[in-house]
Amino acid sequence: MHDDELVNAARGGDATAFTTLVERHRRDALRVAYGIADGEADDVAQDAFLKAYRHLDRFRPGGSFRAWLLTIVANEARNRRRSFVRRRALVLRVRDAADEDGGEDPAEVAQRHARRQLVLDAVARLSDRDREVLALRYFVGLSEAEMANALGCAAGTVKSRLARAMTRLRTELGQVSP
Amino acid sequence: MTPLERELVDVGAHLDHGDGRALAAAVAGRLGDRRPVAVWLKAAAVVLVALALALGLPPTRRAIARFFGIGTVEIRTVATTLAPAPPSDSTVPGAPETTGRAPGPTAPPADALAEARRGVGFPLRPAGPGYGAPQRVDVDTNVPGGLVALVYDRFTLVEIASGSSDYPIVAKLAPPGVTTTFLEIGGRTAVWVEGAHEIAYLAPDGKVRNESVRRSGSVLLWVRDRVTYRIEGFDRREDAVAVATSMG
Repeated sequence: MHDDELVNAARGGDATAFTTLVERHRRDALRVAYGIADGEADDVAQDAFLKAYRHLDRFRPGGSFRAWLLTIVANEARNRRRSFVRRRALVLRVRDAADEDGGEDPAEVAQRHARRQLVLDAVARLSDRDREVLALRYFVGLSEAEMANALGCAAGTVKSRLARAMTRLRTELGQVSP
Repeated sequence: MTPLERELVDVGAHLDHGDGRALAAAVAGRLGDRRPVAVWLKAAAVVLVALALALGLPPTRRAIARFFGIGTVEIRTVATTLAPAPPSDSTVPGAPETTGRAPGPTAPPADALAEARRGVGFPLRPAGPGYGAPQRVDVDTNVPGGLVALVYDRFTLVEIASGSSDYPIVAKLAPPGVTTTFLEIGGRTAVWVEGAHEIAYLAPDGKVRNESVRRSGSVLLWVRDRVTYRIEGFDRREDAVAVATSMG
């Protein structure tokens, strides 16, 4: 069943339909939530799904439910970070290489794992705003148009926010911007 | 896409955020606050059972765990209480085989805390400085990821790693008369269980380990960064919340 049909059913009070949407999008929701608020990801995703449910009437049919939902997740994650009395450094981890890669040269696997962690460490040092656009664009693959639509801003704004975030990421990694 | 952009896509696919298998059930359990009760309750129950079957878990356990659970603790409503085990001096609830106990009064609490920190896989958060140092620190490494009990003058603060397990490892058995209230502390959901009840460890199949049952008074529970926190020893909710807030 398409997202739009499930949204319609959920609007009518069908909790099963909404739970199907949660199942379908939970991994993406966790990716965004984790990328912005690390260990709070589960709580953030849960609260974001509940907010989405409460505000289903605001979702415009024909748009991307996924983009709309993931923007709510990102917003919730940033709010969560803001609510902390003391701002703490983010701790982001990539999954253990052993979980994923079978039958390969262990040295290569370890090297790839280390590189991923290095990039993620640099992401963790960026601002919440920068991580928001990077997570939406690259961790879950929203298009710039989807992001602009869901964030309620011009496509040019998304493009420039992404460009600035990438520049700062390159600086963190010690790379020279192209 | 530039090489760095491609790397970000790859990193996104390898984030260590857990699989969130319990997310749908947890959300389903909370939808009732927002929609007509009859509709959501029936639907959520169906989804929970379906999920449990899909995961090959005993349905009752899964349903109970995620409907009334927080972190590694599940709250079960029971008609009557079980017979508790004889009183134990262990402050780690229901943990007869406590290991790695920190030295007693001769060891300064700071050392005991440092030792406990080395023994568990998560950062310990003691109560704020206003409450002084814990008088005793107990560590139970039988619990995956570790369990630490910080015993203060007026209360006990227990910290349990959620680890990689999605399933509850401790059950609170609440007979009629015991109330559970959801509240928010520092933006996180917490549960206040008021009234005398029982607490026990759970076996991997979700059954209560009878030998571990013991009595407990009112308790405050919440989860932060994959650690479940529990404060026991206060009758008034405000006192427990004050300790939780002091932890920053």
